[in-house]
Amino acid sequence: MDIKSKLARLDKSKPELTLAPLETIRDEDWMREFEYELRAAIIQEKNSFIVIKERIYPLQSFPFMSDFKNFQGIIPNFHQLNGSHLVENLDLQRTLFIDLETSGIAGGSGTFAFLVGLGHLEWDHIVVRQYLLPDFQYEWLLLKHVENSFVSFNNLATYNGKSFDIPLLRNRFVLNRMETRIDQLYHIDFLHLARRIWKKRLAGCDLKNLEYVILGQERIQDIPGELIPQIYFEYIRKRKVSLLEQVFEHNFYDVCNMILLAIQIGLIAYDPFKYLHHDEDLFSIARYYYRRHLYEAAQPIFQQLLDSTQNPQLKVESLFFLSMLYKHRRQYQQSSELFHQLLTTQKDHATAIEELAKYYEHKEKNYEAALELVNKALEHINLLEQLGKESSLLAYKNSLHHRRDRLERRMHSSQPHSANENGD
Amino acid sequence: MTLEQLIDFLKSDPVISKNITFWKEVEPSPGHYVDFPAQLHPLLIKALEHKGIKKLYSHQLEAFQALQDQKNVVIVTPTASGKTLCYNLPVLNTILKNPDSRSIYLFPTKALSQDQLQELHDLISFTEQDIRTYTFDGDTPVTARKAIRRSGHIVITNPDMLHQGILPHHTIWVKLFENLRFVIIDEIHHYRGVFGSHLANLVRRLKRITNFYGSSPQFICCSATIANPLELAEKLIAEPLTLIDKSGAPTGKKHFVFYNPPVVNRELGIRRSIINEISQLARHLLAAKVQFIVFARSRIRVEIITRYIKEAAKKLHISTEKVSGYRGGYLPSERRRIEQGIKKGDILSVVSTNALELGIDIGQLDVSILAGYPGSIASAWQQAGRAGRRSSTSLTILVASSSPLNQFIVENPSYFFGKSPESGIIDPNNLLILMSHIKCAAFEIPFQQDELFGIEGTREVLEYLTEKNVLRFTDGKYYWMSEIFPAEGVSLRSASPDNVVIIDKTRGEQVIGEVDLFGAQMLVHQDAIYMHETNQYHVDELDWARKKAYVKAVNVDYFTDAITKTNIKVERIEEERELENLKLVYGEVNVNTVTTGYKKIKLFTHENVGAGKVYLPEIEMSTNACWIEFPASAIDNLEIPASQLGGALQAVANVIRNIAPLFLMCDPSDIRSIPMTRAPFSQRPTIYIYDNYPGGIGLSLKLMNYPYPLFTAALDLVKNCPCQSGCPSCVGPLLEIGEKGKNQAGKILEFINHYLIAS
Repeated sequence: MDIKSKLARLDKSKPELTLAPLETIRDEDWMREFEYELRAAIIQEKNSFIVIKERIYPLQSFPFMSDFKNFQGIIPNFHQLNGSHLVENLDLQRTLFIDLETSGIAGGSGTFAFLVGLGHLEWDHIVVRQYLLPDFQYEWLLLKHVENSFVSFNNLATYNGKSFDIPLLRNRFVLNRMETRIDQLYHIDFLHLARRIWKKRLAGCDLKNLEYVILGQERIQDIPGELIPQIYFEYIRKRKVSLLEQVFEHNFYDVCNMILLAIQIGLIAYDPFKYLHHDEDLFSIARYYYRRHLYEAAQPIFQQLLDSTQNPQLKVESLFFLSMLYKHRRQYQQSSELFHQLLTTQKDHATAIEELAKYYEHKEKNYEAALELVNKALEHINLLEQLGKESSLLAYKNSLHHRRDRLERRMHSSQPHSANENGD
Repeated sequence: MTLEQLIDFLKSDPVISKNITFWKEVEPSPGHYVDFPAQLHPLLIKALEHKGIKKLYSHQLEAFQALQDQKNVVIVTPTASGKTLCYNLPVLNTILKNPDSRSIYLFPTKALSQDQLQELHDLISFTEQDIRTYTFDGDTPVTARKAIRRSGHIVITNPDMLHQGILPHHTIWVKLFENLRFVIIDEIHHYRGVFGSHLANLVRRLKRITNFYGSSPQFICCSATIANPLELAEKLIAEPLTLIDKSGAPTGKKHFVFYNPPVVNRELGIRRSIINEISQLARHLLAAKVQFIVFARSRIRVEIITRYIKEAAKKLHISTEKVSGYRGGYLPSERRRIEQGIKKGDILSVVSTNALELGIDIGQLDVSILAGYPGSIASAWQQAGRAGRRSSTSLTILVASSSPLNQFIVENPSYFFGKSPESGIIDPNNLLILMSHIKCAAFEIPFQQDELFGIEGTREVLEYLTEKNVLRFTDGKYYWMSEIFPAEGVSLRSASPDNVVIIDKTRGEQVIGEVDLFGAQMLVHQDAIYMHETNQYHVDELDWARKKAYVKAVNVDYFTDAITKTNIKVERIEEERELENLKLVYGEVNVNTVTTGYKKIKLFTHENVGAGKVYLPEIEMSTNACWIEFPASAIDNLEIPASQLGGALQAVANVIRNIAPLFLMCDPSDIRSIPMTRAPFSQRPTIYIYDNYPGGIGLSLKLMNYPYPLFTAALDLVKNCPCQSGCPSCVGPLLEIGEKGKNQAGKILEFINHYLIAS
């Protein structure tokens, strides 16, 4: 039975393009093309070959170059923003940056990397080595060279590599039944660090956006990432090497900009006051520190924002976090004063009311003050409801009622007691 | 009243006994007990003894030993015969001896996985060893997945998850696949038709991957009683297996009763409603204080019957707390509470969907009532198996509805009690299904040039996909060359890839299901009443271009029946059997269908209460068919006038389609039959029976090879139906087949049977 013609009849799914088989060029010509079109070199081993292209990116024009030089490539105090104590300082000389161009973004064992861009710092320039997979069957050789590159580094750095590049690369090693030390290197995903700084202010923290907004760079004639798999497939079918030029270019800038951004993030982690010029970014970092219970790092930032920011919303929020921070550090007196201050600027700040009421009730045992606060809040809610206004305070109505009832009970039960005292 | 006294009462009560068409008594049998095998790990023995198990049933040992001998097994034993221990023993024993070993448990549904997890945890806790068992399905939190992949000894999952969530990501499951010792496929009788054909391909993919990681697991399959468990299992896993079908578990005396509600309208073949009859029966059961379960066919039925039984309980001054419903849609905690209540005996009566048919542990009850034939004999026995504590008497009552299958079963008990006629039929080599899994497999691991994926023609499929630029062939291998994640586009449970999505717009927009193109024209055309889980929906719009049907929930007293025009073109004949006066042919056909309108038919009375027009494009499907051609002389000899021939053939086609599911163990919608008084191909009266799935799934082939049982049964059904000239319970309504339709259909069927047997 002719399976193919039967399939053609049955297969009513979206017509995948059937293209006539192409006359592929001879291997020698093909290999020469890489040198000619891409100015790349060929690495051969056991009937296999891959393509490597090496390029330098000088750092002279990088605005923070002199600061960076002062550190001799090792930026201290990196662990706080990195959120891990495993790496105290950011040793950029010992860090290998990776960016992959892949056959898709679906993941799974059928998605592979056809271009591996590896970058590292050498004193005043970036070195980028790009390994290209000329055809499927040579993957083992590509992986072998990637693996060899790991040897001289302690850290791997990526942009979104935690969920994409590194697992994908790991899969490829497994599929080729090759051992890898990829998991022995410490991995820093700078996307996560970037989000801690810029997510509040910027719409997106993807590399494209940050290199424009933060690094002040704009790519000209860059190909959109989503077209890359198709370009590679077309190259494979036609062996038309020139198609890949723009993919190499795209990957090269991805690697370089990731490194520039990493340096800048390292410097920010070291001294946010010096390297951040937006109060929102400072606030984001402080909030991150606060959430990680790094109160000592968070406190001066919130304090400075409270003292000097022109943004009233940030001022209120900083005041709030600072009050909470004092509370967590058991400095209740300072905490309550700040909550009080907060309520003078924002009357309906629900958490502040709650926290302050708690403070009066449990710490000072001043039920009257607590009750007065709660009653005021309830009055305010009443007013808001009559005016039909929206406020986050409304959601607290029930819990405030509970608190009032309890406070009233407490006052009653403690009154006879105090009457006795008076009587004495 | 004891159960025995109740049984005597039912037998002798004149009102009840006149509706009983058959009473079967199965004698009790003592259990066959054997000692634990020497190879059983002492910790496992300790755990079993903790649970009060001191000996094994003979079939449990038989399975254990076959597995020790490196064989695959398929186990067919009744409900409550300790089936799960057949696989838990070897699996746990292996893990205790080699803590690195891993196993996969595959269940058709998520609910079953949960229950299995409980049971395993129970046994494992008594071994006091760190054996990790997890369910892995859509509900598994992402945070837990890593631990499961790394350290789960037993991963309990379902085919859909294996298909999309595990196999395509095998590189992160290295530990599992390198050390895979057992694959358990429970309830294999569920894997039939399209679903089964997909599963067989899933197993092919699984085996490619284990092979890649250097392991070769043994398979343990379990099945309810069907005609061909060994054949089905062999087709599913493509390896020889040892059949274990002699249960060593003791059984008490079983009474199996067929109850056919009395006819209230002889002409239309309408009988008194099941619900009414069941509330009558329940009253007696409640009064006798026996614990019983009622299996209803839908969620709504469960609620209605529960309400009726509660009312009966009230009249008898029995607390309504003792009556409970049970179905999907109840909260898990609620379900656990009910399960416990049944176990402890606090609940006297439970009404359930088939949710309680499968392995969920509720202990055993006294009586099981089946509110309608559950669709397959295997299911019926599983539901019956809910009644009967070991070594005590039990009773099962099947209350029939008016549907043809129900009527056939209660009127022809020998089909039910004889050797099971139901065959699980799959076709792993259906080209479309095969191709979709070859895509997934190529994504998982590149294909070697001469590698076989089940069939000889693998290479041709690979070449086809290479021409379509989905694969790339280089250096002797086929590589996946697409951005697409292929498993996403392949649904294991439904038919063609091009489905119509059904969107409920009652509140917001919610997808409630999908249906293949052919089904869509018939079920969700404009103004159709679409039934989903017994809820009615009105189709507001069928957007054919975008493959979307928009529906709204309604409550109406009619259903719609699409008027469909079908043309059949024979593409090629694969097999022909020229009998005397009859020709049986099997081959590839092209079916063109278009829905042009619909009829509104009143529920229960089946009156025609309206009609409408539908404008849809014609669709076509290539599939396999089996057909019967009659020479003109034969029809003349039967003395069927030309004016009655159409109705007569329609009647035969109806009855065949109605009972084919019984023999082919398929959904009624999996098979279609089309009569033609003068087929364009043969110029003769012809009845086509074809697989309602592109490329065919083996149903019509089975008919070609074994036509007798179906045609004999069809004749029996027509002969034994008490209606005068056709009813929905046999050949279809009078309106459709004409006044003489039933009579003439009987003649034709007798004619077919005569010549089939004569050959």
